[in-house]
Amino acid sequence: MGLRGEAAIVGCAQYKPEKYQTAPQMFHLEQAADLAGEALLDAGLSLGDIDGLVINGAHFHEASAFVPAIVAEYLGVKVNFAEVVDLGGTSAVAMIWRAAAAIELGLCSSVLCVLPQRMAPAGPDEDLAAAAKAMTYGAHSTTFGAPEAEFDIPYGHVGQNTGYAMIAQQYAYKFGYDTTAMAKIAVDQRYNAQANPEALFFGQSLTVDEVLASKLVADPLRILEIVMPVAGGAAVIVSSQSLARSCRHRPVLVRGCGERLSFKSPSYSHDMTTTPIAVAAKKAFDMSGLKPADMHMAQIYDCYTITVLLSLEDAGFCEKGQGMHFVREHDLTWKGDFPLNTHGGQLSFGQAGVAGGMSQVIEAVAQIRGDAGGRQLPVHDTAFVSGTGGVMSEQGVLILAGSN
Amino acid sequence: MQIPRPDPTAISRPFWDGLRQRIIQVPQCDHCDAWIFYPRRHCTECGSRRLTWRRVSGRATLHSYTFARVATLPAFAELPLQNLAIVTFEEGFNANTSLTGMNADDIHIGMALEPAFDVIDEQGTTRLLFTVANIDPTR
Repeated sequence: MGLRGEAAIVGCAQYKPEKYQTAPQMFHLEQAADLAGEALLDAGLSLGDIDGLVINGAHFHEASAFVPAIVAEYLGVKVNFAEVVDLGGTSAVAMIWRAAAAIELGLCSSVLCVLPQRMAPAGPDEDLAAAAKAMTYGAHSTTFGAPEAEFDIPYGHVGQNTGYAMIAQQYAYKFGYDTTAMAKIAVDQRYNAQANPEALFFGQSLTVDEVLASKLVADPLRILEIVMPVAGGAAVIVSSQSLARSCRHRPVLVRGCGERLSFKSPSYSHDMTTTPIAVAAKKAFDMSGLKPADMHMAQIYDCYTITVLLSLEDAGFCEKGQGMHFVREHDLTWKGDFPLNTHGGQLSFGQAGVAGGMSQVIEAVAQIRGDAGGRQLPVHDTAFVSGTGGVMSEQGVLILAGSN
Repeated sequence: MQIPRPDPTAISRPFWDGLRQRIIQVPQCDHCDAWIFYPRRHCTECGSRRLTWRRVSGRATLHSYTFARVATLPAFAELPLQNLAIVTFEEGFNANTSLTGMNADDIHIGMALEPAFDVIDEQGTTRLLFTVANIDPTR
């Protein structure tokens, strides 16, 4: 059951994260074409090789429906598999396994997974007030009949910060809380970013004291434990293993995957401190035949430090309630004994919307290929990659391994 | 600035109408006794569509909370310190809400709470907030 590990990531492209104010504005269709071109170049494939397409449907600028058809038409590709993924921060991980599954089913041989996340230019008649309102409510639906509009928004339950904060508070109540250990997650990742010129915070080191002195946003979370939203975008090409052998780089096999979601507001989960990744990771590890101790790196979705902590525990890297101890006892840098988010994580790399999760996938690929430059791990054949969307409400896992 | 108004639907109206009368009523499954919050027309535990609206006391405990040091919406920016809370009703279901009439230092997870009915407009729209319980729950 599950993936056989016969599909491989062969090409990647990613915009350098930039602040919205200074980033180029591009239509999402043009970004998709631009990123696809870069990823094809990286793979050594051509446009005609693409016969599958996975794209984000939510917040796609030029269309709210029929997105794959419009993108296929714009790119000039004929696909036998098209999919829209709407899983927030775990969209990237979800795209990769859907692509791999479609390939293993024999539907297609090369799938473009693309997430355009730069802003599009404003049109002459654009309703800026409506756009501002949409920004205010973020990922929350204000539509009549939406449960959030009735039971969350009137109480101020809006945005991600306070949701993650309440999970952290409940964790503290049950297991205790060490703000220094939590800060260390951000600090170790920032160390990694100092070896990644593409990272938003390249050239800006960080100490535990600086994290603890930073602005409190929602108790206990401080601003330096929270990702900075940036403009960016990413594309990844997944191909059949046979095609992958003729590509330019070491194929990175998709060996296992898992996915889990059952709520949007974590308030409705039975246990806020046991996250959906527990189920997703077990499925992915079982499928791959590998276990946490076999992983040479962990590229864990890090919208907040608390996300990393709970993912470490629930994915099985340490016991429940022992996450703080684990963080204290291990060096999480690329030089350390537990390399975590070796590109800096989104906390230091920047979070380009739903493309942010692809930064973790692409870093795993770079490491497994041996192309990670100044932060290259000496042992780099296997990777655990996770995605997290909403408020710890939807999570996914990939187990990736380099082809021999 | 006006607090965003909850607009009752045909499904949820008894809940919001109840609050206007300072009554809390929530659907309960006739088959497995599960409480369904927020209100729906099926049981999320067993799938049954036989539900009955029943009155609950509103006694609850604080499951988690935070202070939003940056207001989550402009309507809440006027509060000295916006708090957000998740409460567990004594019947076992959770709800998103906010605490009122309490000092920040007196708020702690696990504390006993009681409902506070908060009228937010001239039409009488009422939110269900919570505050510290006057009654000792162990009594």
